[in-house]
Amino acid sequence: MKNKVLTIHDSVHERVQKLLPWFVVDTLHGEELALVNQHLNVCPECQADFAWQCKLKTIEPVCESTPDVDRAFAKLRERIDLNRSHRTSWLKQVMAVNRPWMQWALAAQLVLILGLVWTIVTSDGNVAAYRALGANKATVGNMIVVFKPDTSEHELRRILNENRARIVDGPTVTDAYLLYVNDESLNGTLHSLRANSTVVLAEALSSRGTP
Amino acid sequence: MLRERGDSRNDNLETPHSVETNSGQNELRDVQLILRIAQGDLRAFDALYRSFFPRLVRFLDRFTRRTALIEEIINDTMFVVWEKAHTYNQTSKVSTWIFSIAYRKALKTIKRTDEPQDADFDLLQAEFETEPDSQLSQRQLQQSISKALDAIPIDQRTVVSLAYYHGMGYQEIAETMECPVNTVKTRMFHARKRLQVLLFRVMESL
Repeated sequence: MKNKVLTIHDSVHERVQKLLPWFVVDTLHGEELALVNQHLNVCPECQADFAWQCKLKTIEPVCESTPDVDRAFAKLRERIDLNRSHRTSWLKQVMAVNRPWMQWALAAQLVLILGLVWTIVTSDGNVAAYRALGANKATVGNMIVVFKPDTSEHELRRILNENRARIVDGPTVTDAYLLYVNDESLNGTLHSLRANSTVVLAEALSSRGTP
Repeated sequence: MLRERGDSRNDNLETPHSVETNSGQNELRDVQLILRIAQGDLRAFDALYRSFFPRLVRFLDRFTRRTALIEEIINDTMFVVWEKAHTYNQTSKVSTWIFSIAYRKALKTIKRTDEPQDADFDLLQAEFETEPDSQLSQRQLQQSISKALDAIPIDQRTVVSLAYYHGMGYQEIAETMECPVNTVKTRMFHARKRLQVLLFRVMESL
């Protein structure tokens, strides 16, 4: 029984010992404040400790360093201003350029970029995502033609140019070329090609051409 | 010995009511300044800087005595305040927020500069034991306490400083040092025991 009483006393004493500094600086509340008040009335050890801590609190060591608030703040202002200037927007920096010709050049570039963006945005969605070099907007041919094997490349180009035909694909394994011509001139081109001595075969692939 | 909340019997400077009112008014003013700083108000920042400068100097003087280093830590701290004022969410006091930044910056700077952190406890104990019994001047007392504080570990010293010389509660100190409340109490307990050993003769002379 005696042991139990001592344990309770010790536990309160230990709790108060840990709380005492905050009793000294007056930041305890409610139950903790009441506990310390109650214990201090009956514990000479805590009373002595309280007095000792009060002395310690009143003798704050003097600062040995001597910082200067104006000097320090001036340095910080410089740092803030520097940081702000780094954050100045790209456009502001561009516009801050003193040479007039450079501003005009940059303005022209901006207009060009905006124009390109406008073109992309307003273009229809049927444009092929990938287009090979030399291929036209229309990637589907509407005519097939086979030239004689000894037809020169120069002759072949001349015939195609005369008939305003574009190669879409070929030569295939059978030496045939897939061509594209305007639908309006499809029949005329067919007649013209068939009349050419170097052409072995010329056939329309769409229903608009003459069989 | 009975004490009620706000009873500053050892200060004898302000009435209990005025202590709480002033503290509340200061906190309100600090919060208002932070809100203005978050809007980029440099005048508000100037006011907050000058208000906290002496407190931070007193706090950081326990970490280093190098004036330039203290100015650097304060400016690093207040630069964060300037940059991050918009993130202050009022879950803690403005002073707790600023001191916690200063504490982290101080530890980082001290580590970087290899500043000696603690004086030799045993050496100092021997020195204090040979102190004359005559009455010490206030200045000598302050110097003795300063030396004794330098001889205890930095985390214990910080708790002592924040409690006795900045009037912070254990919860505020725990938030400042980002550690559990029990750790704060334990650090303070050990710090007191060490200081009592070191300052036995000095305090007797009072």
